[in-house]
Amino acid sequence: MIGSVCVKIAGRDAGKECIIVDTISKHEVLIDGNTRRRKCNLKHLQFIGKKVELRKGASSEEVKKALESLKITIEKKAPAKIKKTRQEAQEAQKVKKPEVKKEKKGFKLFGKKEDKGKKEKKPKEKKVAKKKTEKKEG
Amino acid sequence: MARIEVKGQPRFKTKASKKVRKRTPGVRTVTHYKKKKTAKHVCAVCKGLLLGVPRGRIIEIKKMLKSQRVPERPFAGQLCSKCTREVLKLRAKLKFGLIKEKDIPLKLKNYVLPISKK
Repeated sequence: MIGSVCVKIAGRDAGKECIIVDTISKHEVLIDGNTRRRKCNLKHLQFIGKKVELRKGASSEEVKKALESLKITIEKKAPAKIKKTRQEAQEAQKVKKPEVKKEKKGFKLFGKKEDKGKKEKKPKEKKVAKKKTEKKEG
Repeated sequence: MARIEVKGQPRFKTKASKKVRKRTPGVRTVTHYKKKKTAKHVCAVCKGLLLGVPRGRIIEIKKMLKSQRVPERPFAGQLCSKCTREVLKLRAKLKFGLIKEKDIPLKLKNYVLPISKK
């Protein structure tokens, strides 16, 4: 059983390749590879028919090398987030300068209206309708 | 003419909202309007009900967390767990040369094949 290559069918890691590293009971085994290193029910695995020589309880690095020998691509996991200490977080806040709010030009909210002298209205020029004068010839 | 809006009633006379008749304590029958729910989610292959996929209006579901909307496996919200297992089994066998394309059943072909083309 140990060293047989399989694909996980159920759960979050479904569709990923893994190798059995250890047996826990009749139905459960320990798996590792592209999946997380964890125990798994045999019903949730699909055997491919390939086997690799591995010692019992092999480390995850050994499993990865075994997968590479079968030309199975290894998925890179995202690096784990490093938690900042309280001092580091406080220093990071000090470095940032407080932003100064800029007033918008030409637009004042709730501002008082300026008193402007009333503009004198210009009298409109009356349009004089031009009469069409057509001289009749003849 | 200005349109009069009554509180608790839909704006237009559509069938988008569900009518419910209720009797008030003052012995008066009144119509109440409720929003309709969406249909239940169904597997694309076997037409069985999908578990772990909530049902409701879009606004209600958008307020939920992402992990509460669908399960975390591939084909979640599309296929049921039984059909996904069948698809993933066939994918694994096809990838390592245990079966050929002819052996795949027609109803699962759309879900199995895309990986083999790559």
